[in-house]
Amino acid sequence: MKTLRHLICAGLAFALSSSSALSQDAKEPIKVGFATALSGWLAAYDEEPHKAAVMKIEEINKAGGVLGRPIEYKVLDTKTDLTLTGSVASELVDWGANMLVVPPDYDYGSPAALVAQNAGLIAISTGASDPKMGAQGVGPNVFTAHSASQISGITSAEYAYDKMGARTAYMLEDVSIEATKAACAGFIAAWEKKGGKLLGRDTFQKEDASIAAQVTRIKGLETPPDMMFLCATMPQGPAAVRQLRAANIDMPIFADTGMGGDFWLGGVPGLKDFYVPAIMSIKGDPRPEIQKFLAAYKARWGTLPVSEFSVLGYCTIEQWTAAVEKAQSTDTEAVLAVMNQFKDQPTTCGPTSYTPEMHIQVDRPLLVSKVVDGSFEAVEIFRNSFAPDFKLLFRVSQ
Amino acid sequence: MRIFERLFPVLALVVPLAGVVWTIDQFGSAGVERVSTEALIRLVFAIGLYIFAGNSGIVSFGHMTFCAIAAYATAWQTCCAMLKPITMSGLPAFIRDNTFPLLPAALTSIGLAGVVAFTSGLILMRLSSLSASISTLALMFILNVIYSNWTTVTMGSSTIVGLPVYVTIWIALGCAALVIVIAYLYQVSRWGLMLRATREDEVAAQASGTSLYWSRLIAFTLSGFVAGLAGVLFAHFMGTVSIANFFLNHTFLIVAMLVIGGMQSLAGAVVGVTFISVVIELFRRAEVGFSVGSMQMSIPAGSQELILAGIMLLILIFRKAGIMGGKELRWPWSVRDDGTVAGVGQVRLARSANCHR
Repeated sequence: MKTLRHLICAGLAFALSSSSALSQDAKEPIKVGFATALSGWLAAYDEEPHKAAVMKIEEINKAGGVLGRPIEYKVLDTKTDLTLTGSVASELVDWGANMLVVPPDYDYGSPAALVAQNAGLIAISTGASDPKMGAQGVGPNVFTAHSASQISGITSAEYAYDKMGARTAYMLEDVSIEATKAACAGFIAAWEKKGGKLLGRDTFQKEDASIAAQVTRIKGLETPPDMMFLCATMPQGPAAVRQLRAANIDMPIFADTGMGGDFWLGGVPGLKDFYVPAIMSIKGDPRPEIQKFLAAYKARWGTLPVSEFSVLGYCTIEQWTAAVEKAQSTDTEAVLAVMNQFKDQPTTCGPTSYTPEMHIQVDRPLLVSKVVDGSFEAVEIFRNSFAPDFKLLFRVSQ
Repeated sequence: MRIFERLFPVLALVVPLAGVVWTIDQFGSAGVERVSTEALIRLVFAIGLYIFAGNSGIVSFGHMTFCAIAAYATAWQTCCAMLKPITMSGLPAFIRDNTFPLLPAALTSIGLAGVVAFTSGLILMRLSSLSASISTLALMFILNVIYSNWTTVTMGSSTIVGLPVYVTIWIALGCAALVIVIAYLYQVSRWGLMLRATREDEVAAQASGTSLYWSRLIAFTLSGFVAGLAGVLFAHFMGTVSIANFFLNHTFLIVAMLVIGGMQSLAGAVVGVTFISVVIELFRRAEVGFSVGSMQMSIPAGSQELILAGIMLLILIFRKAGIMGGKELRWPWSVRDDGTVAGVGQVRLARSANCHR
């Protein structure tokens, strides 16, 4: 962290001194403001995307900048505090930011995004998976670089049906978290659309230490389902998986995106037939652009990223600068018009599409990964064909 | 002159505040202005809390309840016409399908907070001091659980975004000045003095014909209204409303501000909020980094919280009754004339008697 701060300070000092010396010649830098959670619980999700974004800015500057102008950036810590998030965002607006990068969570990112919206700037969240971080929620200038939570459910349903021949399913839902509920809503919609049969569904809460009752009900089914979708995340997810497997429930289990990552697999020895649709795989991702990203990240920060969400920060800068290049301006209206017309715009995270109404990804391919010998292994890239409508995205009937 | 002397405790608070706000408005950056606006809104809340806790001696941990109720009420009325029917489908039809003007929305929301304070006070104020304290905490837990699970009406634990943002630093200052006046008028009124008497000695106050129940209930209700005002300001300052913001963190911060400033006087509330807000902002900026000449300096991330805790401890060790020690700011050249400020004089006498006991 210290090195990062020093670097920023050095960068700013350099920018300041150079701008005073060469103010006539040098082109005015483009300014990117980061309202980033560098402390508090959200830091675990925000720090790596932030580092990736910084890396992308450095790469762009090395290659000559955008529109021939260098990118300057300023980082302020939101401390995972709702009010402070808004305050630092307005400080960044005051500093003269051309766009804001805001935290990867709807609740803790929206105060900053709203400040940008009201100041007439574009804000991109590195990883919010709630469509309210967009045109219908915070406002028409607000985007998120991530896919909607529903997509992991939809991808699981379609992959299990098409590629694994599953026809009957069971769904176990952690109802204490909004994102997992959304993933389950996506699964149900896509599974029914495919014509699959849902043998049953059950819920649990994060307070539940044991899911014995749920396990008993699954064991009591007349015919065991072909697959199970488990919408849960850390730390309840692994506990649920362990209890399911311990009870000899051994059909393939698909889980929500948040369950990717090898670190918890030691808690469920011998786990197999466990699938997660992920953004990327830290080791063994088949896509060369991801490999390149990971190598660059390691070279820049000295270690590989831990979270698959890190790459989203890289794409945040990537997509905005692409739009700026195309619009030939940093003017919000012009950039917005370009971004709203992105149709399968290639980025490191995969094809990126926006419309004036849809500011979140609804059909970006995910990497289906499978647990083999105690670690996740990439199986294949899969793109869902069923696109969720607004009712499903906002979970109207729920 | 005499009226000036009487109003001095209020003027001595409002005029410097206005001066600071004017300076910030003229010379400060947008960031400083925003932080100061937030501090002023906290001040409104702290004074709301003071009206009850300072005068009655019962610390309330539950005033965020009224803040949240008013914030949500104004969000229901003024927020996001497009998204409201989808995300808050459980609202009554006339609220769900209409957007109300800002002022009536604010007033009804404050009213709702006050009514809830009165109704809950009817029960809670029967309890004796420590039980009453804890029961206000329970009240906040009840509200928190209800609002974070009442998904169709409050969007659960999710954030409501898109309230009109109209609270500028001047509006916040105006409201702060208003509640300072209200708090002062209340504390020198008959009911305020009776409540202060119960704070100093419950038995003696009761023996003199003061009703513990009614004097506390009145203060609780009034402070509920003021906390509601803070909630409305907060909602329209942030533009977002989230139940997570109206819970323990914020409560303890503001209670700490009150205690540091001196719980038993209005000046203490104002000084406490100002002092802690300045300390927080100063060291937060030090964390971000500042330059001295050509040197870039910064303190390690997270040290702001540690320093704040350290300063609070020092103050509590060396000034047990807070910075102001329970005193109001007084006209420095006054000739004691017990005729004009008899009531206040009595309380002061009672307190000094208490101290000498």
